[in-house]
Amino acid sequence: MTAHDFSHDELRRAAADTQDLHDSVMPAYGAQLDRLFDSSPTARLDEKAHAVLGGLDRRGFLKIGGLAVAGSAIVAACASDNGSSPSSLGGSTTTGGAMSGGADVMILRTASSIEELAVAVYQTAVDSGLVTTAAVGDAAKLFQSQHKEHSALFQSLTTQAGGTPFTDPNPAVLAQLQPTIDALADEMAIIQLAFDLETVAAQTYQKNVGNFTDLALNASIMTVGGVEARHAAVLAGVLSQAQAPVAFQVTDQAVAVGTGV
Amino acid sequence: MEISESNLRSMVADVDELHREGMGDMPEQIAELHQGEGARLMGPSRAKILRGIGVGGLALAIGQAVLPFRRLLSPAYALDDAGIAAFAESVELAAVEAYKAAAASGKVTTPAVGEAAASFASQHEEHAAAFGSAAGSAATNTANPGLLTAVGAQVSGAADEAAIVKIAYDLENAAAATYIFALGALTSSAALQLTASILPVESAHAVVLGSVLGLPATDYIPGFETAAQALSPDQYPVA
Repeated sequence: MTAHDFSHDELRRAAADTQDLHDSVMPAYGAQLDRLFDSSPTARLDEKAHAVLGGLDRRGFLKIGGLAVAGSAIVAACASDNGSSPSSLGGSTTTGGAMSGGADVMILRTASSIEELAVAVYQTAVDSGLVTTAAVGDAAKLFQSQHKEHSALFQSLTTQAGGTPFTDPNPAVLAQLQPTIDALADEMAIIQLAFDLETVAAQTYQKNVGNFTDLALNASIMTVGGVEARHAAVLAGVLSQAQAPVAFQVTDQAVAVGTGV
Repeated sequence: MEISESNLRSMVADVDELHREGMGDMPEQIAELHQGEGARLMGPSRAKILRGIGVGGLALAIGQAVLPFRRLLSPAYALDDAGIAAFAESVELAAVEAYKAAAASGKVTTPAVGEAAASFASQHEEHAAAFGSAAGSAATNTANPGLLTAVGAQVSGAADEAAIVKIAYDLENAAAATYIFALGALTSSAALQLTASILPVESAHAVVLGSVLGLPATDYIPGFETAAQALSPDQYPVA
């Protein structure tokens, strides 16, 4: 490796943040995984395919149809802010120069607020007592730990962009989701909520590509956006939904920039 | 629930160990992507990208092929938006052909795997058409010859269905990584948006294939997407 031009202090801070996250997550996580990893024989490929590709043949797809309420709530939250947010991207199609550096900060603050919301929702799920499948709980904790990392990244980038990081769950989206959260009744409802949140996150990050003043952030935000899409694909499989249903991800559920932050 | 606990177990298998390993690397990965050499790679200035040519001797595995990371930054390749889109088109068409070769090999025996492969191939075909449109006169409408040769050889040599799925898994991850790289080099809003709409789909493909293979969950659910497995336009030039 040649000489880096990043600050060693920044790297140390990133390392410390990451270690803190790791330390906070690993004890309970490890205990559950110890129970989980019983070295059961690898299932036959066709059995695995049946399980994880179930959505492709639509079997059981309609079983969870009644649970798809959280996504609608999130969309409502987005829509309610679309017209009023001073930072709404509207129909902007330009790259870079049309927006100020402050817009980068607002996008990044919105992003960290979504990540913090995801962290909080997964914690609610874990604490609810409704998650009865150990592997689901373990997956939730893995995803939650990754959302913490994502939030730390977005907060760090916010600081680099000259802004103040947003460190709380997005209050506007949370308010819209609260009735759904309060009504959670079983594990499948929690998984559906998680799927909806991951989808919203993935679409939000995609929608902001091309709108950054600092063009490097286009790739940065999708290093996270792609992972949220992976989370959504896993959860879709558990829900027996298609895991890659369309050739192009859409952004109709994206949270408008500035919502709640 | 349609998925068994044992299957779900396989989706998160070895997470503990791998999470520890992954977390150990995470600060470096973040710094690499956003503050260090990765930032140069994905930075706003093409000149800045090209200045990075001398960095990095890291050997990266693409399926069974290995390429030096610095070749991603070769000055021999015109990194303009049309050129990148044309390269992406060629990669997508190679993926289509790879899936077709897999289907024709007779090694895919599980119907659900065959259905997934057909679905993914169809989506790659749509991606290719979109990139081809974005590339304009630079489009070749031809599968990337080098990639086609490399992957074709792997498909021919695959021992069984699992080996075929592994090839597809590597290819999907390589495509996703290539688009992370592209997002750091593209400048037009339309090309950026197109690439950002396709990357998550390749990532979802990788999840499906990785879980079918029973890989550790953190293999196909990394903390961050990276350009580490990106295909090089220098290693695999368009026709």
